[in-house]
Amino acid sequence: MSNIITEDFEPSSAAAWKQKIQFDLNGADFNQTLLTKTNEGITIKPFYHANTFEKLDIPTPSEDFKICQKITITSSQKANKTAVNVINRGATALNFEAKKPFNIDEVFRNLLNKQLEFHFQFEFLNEDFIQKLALKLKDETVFFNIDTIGNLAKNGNWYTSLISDFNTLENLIQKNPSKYMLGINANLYQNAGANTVQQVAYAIAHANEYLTKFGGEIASKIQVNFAIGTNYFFEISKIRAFRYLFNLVLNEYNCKVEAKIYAEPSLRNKTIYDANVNMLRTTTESMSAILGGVNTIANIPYDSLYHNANEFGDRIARNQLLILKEESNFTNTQNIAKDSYYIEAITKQIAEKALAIFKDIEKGGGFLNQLKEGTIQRKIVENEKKEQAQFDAGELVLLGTNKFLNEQDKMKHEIEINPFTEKRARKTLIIPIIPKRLSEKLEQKRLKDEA
Amino acid sequence: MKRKDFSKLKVKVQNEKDAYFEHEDYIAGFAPNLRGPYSTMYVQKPWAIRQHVGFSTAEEGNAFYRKNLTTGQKELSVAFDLATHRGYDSDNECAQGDVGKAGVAIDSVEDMKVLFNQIPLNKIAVSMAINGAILPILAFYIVAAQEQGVDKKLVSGTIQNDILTAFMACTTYIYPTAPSMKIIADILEFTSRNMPKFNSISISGYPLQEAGATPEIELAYTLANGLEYLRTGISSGMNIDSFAPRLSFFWAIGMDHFTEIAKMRAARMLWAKIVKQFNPKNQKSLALISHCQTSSSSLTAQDSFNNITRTTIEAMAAAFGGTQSLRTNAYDEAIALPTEFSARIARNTQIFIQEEIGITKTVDPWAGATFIEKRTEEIVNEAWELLQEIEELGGMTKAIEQGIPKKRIEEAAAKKQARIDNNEDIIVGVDKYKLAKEDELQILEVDNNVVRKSQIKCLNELKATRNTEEVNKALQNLTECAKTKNGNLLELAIIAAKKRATLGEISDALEVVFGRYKATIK
Repeated sequence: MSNIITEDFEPSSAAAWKQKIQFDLNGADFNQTLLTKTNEGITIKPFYHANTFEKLDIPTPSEDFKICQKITITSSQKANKTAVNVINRGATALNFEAKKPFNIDEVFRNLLNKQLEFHFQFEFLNEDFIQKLALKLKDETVFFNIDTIGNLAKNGNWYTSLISDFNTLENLIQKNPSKYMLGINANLYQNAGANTVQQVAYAIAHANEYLTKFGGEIASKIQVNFAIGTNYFFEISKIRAFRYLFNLVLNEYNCKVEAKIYAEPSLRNKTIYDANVNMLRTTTESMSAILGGVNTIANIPYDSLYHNANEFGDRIARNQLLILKEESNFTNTQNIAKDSYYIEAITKQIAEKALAIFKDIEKGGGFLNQLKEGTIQRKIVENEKKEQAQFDAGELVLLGTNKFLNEQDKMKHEIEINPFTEKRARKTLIIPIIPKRLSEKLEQKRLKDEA
Repeated sequence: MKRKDFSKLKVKVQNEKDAYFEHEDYIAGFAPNLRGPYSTMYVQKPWAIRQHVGFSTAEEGNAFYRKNLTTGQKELSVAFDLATHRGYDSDNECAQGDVGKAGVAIDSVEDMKVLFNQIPLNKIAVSMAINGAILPILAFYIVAAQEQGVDKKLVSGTIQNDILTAFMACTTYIYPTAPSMKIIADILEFTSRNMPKFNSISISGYPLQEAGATPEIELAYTLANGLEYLRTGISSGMNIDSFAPRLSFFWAIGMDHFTEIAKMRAARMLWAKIVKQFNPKNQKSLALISHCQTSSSSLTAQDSFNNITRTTIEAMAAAFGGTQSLRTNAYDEAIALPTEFSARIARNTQIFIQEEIGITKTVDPWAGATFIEKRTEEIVNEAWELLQEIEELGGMTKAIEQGIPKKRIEEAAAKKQARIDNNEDIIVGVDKYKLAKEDELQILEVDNNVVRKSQIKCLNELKATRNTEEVNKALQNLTECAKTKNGNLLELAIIAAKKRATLGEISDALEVVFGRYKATIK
């Protein structure tokens, strides 16, 4: 700065600031009044200052984020129609969700050679089908997101068996060396109630199972999928801490790979009442994801909990990302948090704590082993219960649900799909990790009470 | 592959920043207040949510306020219709189309009393966006409080009263520049003597950005206005510390998220510098207190639900910039007065940011980030340069008389429009990703004629029941004071208001001496 300001004013140290605060507090206790203790075991200080600056060297993604549209394939023809429409409306990536194989030619009609990214979420593992799909998309950027361990964590069972699942995976990887075949679906942990440190630790430990199995080179075929919640700066820091640790672990394999990260807003904090607040939530969640430096973001519609996919919900959700990119200069901001005292401090603490958990998991035989023993599930439930208690006590707020309710808001006749966790009676090999929303209990009661 | 041993793995901590800026070590609560005007900012108390929703009559406004106060709001804002702004009573022919449009019509103290009926003016802070017709409006407000049993000493709130901005970017001025500054001096003098809890000028950049100014121009010209008011107060014999702490600033927060954050940080440093030349003894004189509003001009009539996202992004910037109060626009404000539904979402936007996302836990969370600090420095430098241009012209009053600020703003607006026309700037749902068919929107319509008729009826009743002789005497005193400059215009306006003189009459009593300002277009 040409000394416009510095010629008139002296700088202040962190100590001077603290002194000033203590004076202003007028006798109140500094620690009690101003420190925030989080479920991660991190203490947020009322201010951060250059005097206490700490940071890690965070790898930065080389490209700006892509805007992804999620499409659930119920009919191949309809899916194609939606896809063609949304790529004309700003989407640069598509994520197809499928419960069963679909008509490949039909779904991809007029979609190839357009510089798009394709992502998949299959609820099945079918080598022939995926191979056919890979062949069709041989010149495209494709993320298959096959996650046999994640599938076990989510459903409690292998697709077929450990050996068969991994054989299929190995074959697919070998036949398609240029594709991102593997997925680490760490979004499950967030949606089930893990805190940010746990999510990073589990994502790393989860990834390390594949690295152990296939070697470090496999890292270049992995995409990691995170769910992003509303804890603005912690979510930014979470993504950055993950990038750092992924790099750190890969060093041990003598590899260097830029982690590919895909993000969606969390479902955990979404509500069926005052559903417009979901629009606000997904805005800041998208902001966190972008500023944390994810590669691809798919937004979720404000009404996706209880409405079937619809044009309005999809459009507003996609436009949130377009507005950030086109109107608010959230472009090439993947490294914008660099040197922020606060974000760097939180990033460092998340990374340190997650690394400690990762080491524990490795000492306990690795992620898969700890899943089989139920340790991971237990830890997630512990944090989930803590959050739920905070929500029930009103310390953790969901606006319109446990604070400032709108009594006129009636939802009974709006519900097209079940917004609540379904009980599964199936016999499973391990305890599955079940996503759970904070507001479910309150909503069930409120729905029942609706006249 | 054998499992690797990670037990020795460690994170590598660095203590050096990549880039360091000279201003970085300024703190909050101490000049130049880079990181906020208060030492703990939102950690102890978040910004005040200051919503207002348009209504046409005092009765409607009153009902709306009383309802809002039950939902936790502690501040109220009043917007006035154009007739009131320009000093016309509702029965004036010049006001015909404007009565009750875009705000409430106030003709006399009676309307003001209805507006605040059963609202304790010693407990609720009220902000009023008024410039030209400041004297009658402020007088009505003070008298309404008095007749409620509340002494003016206890009245808190803010009036816009930024006539210089009005000259640059609004049509809400009445008198020429010199007498307008005399009015400001009298208000500063009166309020610093009698109304210790009242913010007597809200120096307003908002209309400048809305008129097309860049955030840098908005900042520079608003600070230049502030400097002019400081000089006005000082030259009318006041002590800097008696009025500087009660000046506040009003910013527009537009879509350029990080620039807006940097703008607010730069503003606090520059204001501290500007005030310092008058040698204040009180730290509070150096602290820039701000109110922000999300930008109305960023809203679109097309696919208007997108506006919820825009307002959220803007509100986030205001919070990161460290505002003391905030108004968030409703998504339909580009088209009409907000409905109850859209107003609820607008208010919820702020409550959501305060309650759900954890950004209030630490002061100035973006500090240190290279991009933010660099932008802060750039804006300081650019705004300072623009400010020097105004100083060389002899200060803002003179610059306005020469039409320079208006010209700069128009140039900026033209540039912005050109960028949109060339598709360099894109507006979602307008230039690109348009809807084939717009959704139907439920909007609030105002029947302006009904409002006007009812206002005129009240005016006639008022005039029939008051003591005409006393009214005329009070108005003559005002005219006399305008002529001789002996006495305080606000003090005399309060007497006239008590006697039930109308807004139009008080304005006219001054206009006969001052005349009306005509904008010169260069």
